[in-house]
Amino acid sequence: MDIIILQEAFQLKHTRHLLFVTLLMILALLAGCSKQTPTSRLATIEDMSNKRIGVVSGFIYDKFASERFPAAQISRYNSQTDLLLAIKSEKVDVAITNYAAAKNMLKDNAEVGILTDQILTFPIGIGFNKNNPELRARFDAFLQARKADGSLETMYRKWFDNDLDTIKMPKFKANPGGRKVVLGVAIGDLPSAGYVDGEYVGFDIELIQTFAAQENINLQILSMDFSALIASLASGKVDMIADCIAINAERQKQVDFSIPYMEDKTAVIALKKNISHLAGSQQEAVRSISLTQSLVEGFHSNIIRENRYLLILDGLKTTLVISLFSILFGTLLGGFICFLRMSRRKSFQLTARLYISLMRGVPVLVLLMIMYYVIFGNANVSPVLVAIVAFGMNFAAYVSEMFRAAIESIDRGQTEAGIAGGFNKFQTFVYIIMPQAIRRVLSVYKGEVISLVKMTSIVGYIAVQDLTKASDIIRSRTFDAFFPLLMTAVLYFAISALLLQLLDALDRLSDPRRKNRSGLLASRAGRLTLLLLAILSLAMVAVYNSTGPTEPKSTSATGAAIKSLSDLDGKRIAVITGTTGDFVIREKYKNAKVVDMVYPADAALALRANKADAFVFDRNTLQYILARHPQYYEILPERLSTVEIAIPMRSDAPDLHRKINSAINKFKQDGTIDRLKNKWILSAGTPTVPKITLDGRNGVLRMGTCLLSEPYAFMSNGVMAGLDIELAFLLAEHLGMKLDITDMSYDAMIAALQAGKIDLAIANFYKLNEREAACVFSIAYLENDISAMVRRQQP
Amino acid sequence: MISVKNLSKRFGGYWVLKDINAEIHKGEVISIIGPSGTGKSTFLRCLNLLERPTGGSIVIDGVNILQKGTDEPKLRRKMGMVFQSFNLFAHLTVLDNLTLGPMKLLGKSRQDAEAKAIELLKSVGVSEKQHQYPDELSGGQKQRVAIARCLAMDPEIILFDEPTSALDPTMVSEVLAVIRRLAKNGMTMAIVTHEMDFAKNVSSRVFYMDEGVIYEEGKPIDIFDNPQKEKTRIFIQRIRKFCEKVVSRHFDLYKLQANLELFCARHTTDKRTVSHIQLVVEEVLGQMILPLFSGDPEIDLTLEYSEKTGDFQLLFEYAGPQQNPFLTLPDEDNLSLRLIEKLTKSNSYNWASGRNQINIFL
Repeated sequence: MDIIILQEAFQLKHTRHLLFVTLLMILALLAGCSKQTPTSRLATIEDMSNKRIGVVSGFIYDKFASERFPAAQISRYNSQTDLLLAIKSEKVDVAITNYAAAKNMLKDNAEVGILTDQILTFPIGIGFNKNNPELRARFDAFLQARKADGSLETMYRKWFDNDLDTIKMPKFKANPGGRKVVLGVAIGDLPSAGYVDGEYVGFDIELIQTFAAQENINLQILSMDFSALIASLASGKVDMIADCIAINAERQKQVDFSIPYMEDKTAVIALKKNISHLAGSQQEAVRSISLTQSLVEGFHSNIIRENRYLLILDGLKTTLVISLFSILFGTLLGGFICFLRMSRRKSFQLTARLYISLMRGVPVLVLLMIMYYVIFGNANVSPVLVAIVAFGMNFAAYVSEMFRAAIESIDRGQTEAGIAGGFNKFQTFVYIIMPQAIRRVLSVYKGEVISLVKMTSIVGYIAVQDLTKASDIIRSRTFDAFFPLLMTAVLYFAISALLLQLLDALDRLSDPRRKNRSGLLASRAGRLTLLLLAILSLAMVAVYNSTGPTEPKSTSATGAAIKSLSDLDGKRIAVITGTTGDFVIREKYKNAKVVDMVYPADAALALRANKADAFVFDRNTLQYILARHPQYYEILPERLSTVEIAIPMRSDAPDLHRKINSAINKFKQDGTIDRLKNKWILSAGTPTVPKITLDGRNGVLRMGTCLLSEPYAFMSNGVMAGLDIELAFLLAEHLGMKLDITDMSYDAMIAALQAGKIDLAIANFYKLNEREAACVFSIAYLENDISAMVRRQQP
Repeated sequence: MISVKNLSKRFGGYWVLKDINAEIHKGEVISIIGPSGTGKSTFLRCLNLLERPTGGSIVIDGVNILQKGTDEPKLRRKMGMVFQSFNLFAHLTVLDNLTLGPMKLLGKSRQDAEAKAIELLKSVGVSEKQHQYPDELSGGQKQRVAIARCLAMDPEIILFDEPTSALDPTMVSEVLAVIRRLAKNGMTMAIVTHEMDFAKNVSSRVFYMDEGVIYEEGKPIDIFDNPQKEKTRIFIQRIRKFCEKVVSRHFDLYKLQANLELFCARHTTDKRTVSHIQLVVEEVLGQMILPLFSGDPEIDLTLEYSEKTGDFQLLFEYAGPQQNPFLTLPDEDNLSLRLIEKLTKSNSYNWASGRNQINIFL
């Protein structure tokens, strides 16, 4: 007997231990702890080959690094600042960047040094159409002269050695009488070319404007994708192109270049202690990241960085407001429905029964969308209010039946005693039946309340940023499922526990057994309960008001039309949660009211229904939408930012990475990508994916996508269509693999990748450095702009 | 005070009350008795409109309350009602059960209402339970609280709907004692009850209800000791009957004896009485009546048992010319006659419209 008990005790302990270890392992896995390799000193360029290299995405260094150091782990960052931070926090060992930018960084960061600047130098030139040698010759002559008199050098110094904010771009007069020349620029980055306060500025711009002024040219500037520059020039859409374009043999096949007007040097930077000739004598112990550190890091990046906890707090507030008010509204409405249902009038009964079966038969999500898009479609009503009404209506249907069951369970004698005692029906209900029914209904009511709280997690569909949505936003940014989800789960649990406590208090108050035996107190219970409810509602109203108006002031709805990006601030801007447009808007337009949407179609609808003033998304999709509804929308000419589109892949399949990257390179070079872009995005018809037979000799490629993202991946006439789908088939064909496509939401894809359920996701994914902590991205296969679409102004 | 005329009430297709006519005067205590299912409770519940009568009129203090525009709640405040199942408010203490009505309906202050409530609780003997909840009380205590709850509203009449039917026999008397005291103090009351002794001793008038009407009414002494109508008698004396028809000379005497024994066993444990009855039946049938018939006879045999007195009575009925068998019995059968006379208390012979009736009291 004792032995058995001991054994059991041991097993129990053992099991607990195992559970704990397993839990820790899961935590470690989920936290996506970055695999840090010990650093060894760098002496030459070749030492970089097995290091973690950081680059700013979208520049030539990216391609250079992946080609020159195929074994290296390359991380891409959005900005020079992020890149520097990565070096300093040892997320990467070295960084390749523009020499000028590197010098700039070193000024304030003594711990960072330059390993070498002898790695990559490109001559930079202006591109001309091969059929227009005359213009190029004139420009070359202009350049020669400027070089000779030193004014080119002066202009270069002005743009490259000074703080960008202080540089003055000289005013150039328009020259309408002159010969028309169209210049294509990508306005990628200053100091070469940019767009500031409605003006094109930058070294390249000033240079060409000067040239134009001298040669009496009517210069028109057109901004476009960097990747589209060469093609536009070759096709004659523009006459010259500029924007720090490196002269290389490949490009020279398609366009003519001027003589170089500058050289772009490249620097490799690293922490000084990691560079042999700068390291001095100090030796640092090899660092390895422990589990706790990775947890801390996960916490930091998901909760602390960019004040993300504020997102969660805001979401929490919204969830609380929606939950509490729908409970209040739903309970009142439920009481009313119950009254109708129990009424003796047949018409009342019928109405209530119809209402109840309708509400119970329609999914809450559908109800929510109907309320938002149809019933309140044209009314300027806060989506939070819509959510409260929708959830309350649903809640009412369920609780009304609970109320009825509770009331009917009260012995008829109680009613009779009340009536016979001289109370009218209402008094009998209020004084005698209700106090007893409340006690009976509470236990089931509690369950319904909790399920309502959890149900509110779908409000993201109507652009309410609740707790779940906040976690989605963070996840889409960090690609880390663990912390945001855990945090959200804990918070939902906390809300539920809190509400349960409140209801338990109500339960205790309404329970005659637990009350003080003094008669005075006993009859006060009802009043106390009411008082509690009143205080609760008042507190909630206070909270609600303190969140500020959920809807911007009416000025935004009726205010000035949006004519340029600078008009966006303070407006209601629809974005798709987690997209770059979302981040850009949140960063740049602090006063804008962000309307979070799930699908572009919904966002466009919201814009059309005046629920948003602009929709910021990738230009390709916007153009696609505009092509189909030109009467409703227009797209602002300026771009907010440029992004790269790439394929996130499982991080544990390096072989696949290599193959995919080389395939994308091949497709880029042989014009496949351009063909796809033309076919799916720029042309107006309804293309289809050609039949591609996959033999599957090399196994199966499991791919995730979201079939709600026209024109990238969508269903057309019952079959999958879109640029991403066709690309996927081409990739699979190239790899000799069968294709297994799973349709899922964007958030699910990230988690599926991490869990190894899919091998890659082709779904118009923007390449963001933070995402690269969680999974590996291929090289970019498309470039895109973030632009803003607005309602078409009525003439 | 209350005058009921031609009152009727129909549930679906069934007329529970057909034609009720009654007067209740101030200070009267009316007991309403009768078999189950004859509409006693329905009649009572029609009086305070808990049930809406189908027809007729109820005039209270000169106003027909069945007319539209009657303030029913106000009417009911003057008419207390005590239910069979008590119906105390389950969520309120005993004290609050008493004060709820006066405070909410009569506008009394809590202080006044409680003072009166405590006084009433004292008068019904449950004042020490004032802070307890109804389900902590015994049945008798609950019913006394319910009565006190009625009294708290200062009613002009109290309607009792079988106030002791749901009680253990041990608790009946404590409730009846309270009602008895109310009667003594002159409270007008209408009581539906099965407690015959109580009805007899307390009431000023008794309604016997049957067949949806007030079948017989009168002073308790008349109704209980000398009911005018057969149904009333059967009810009052709580008579149980055993009937058998003898239609053959060669009838199965042993089966008849067994059935008689079975009936008797339900009402008495006295084996001697049973065997006496069997003996008398055998003698009367075999020696006194059957010899009168040449062919097959047709004799109705009835054995009655009165639960009230505990007496058995045998009744033989048969068609034929008037001929008292007790007198015309041949000498050699004197043995049977003597036996019968020895076993019975008394006997009688009647002849009416061609039928002979023999009554034998045991």
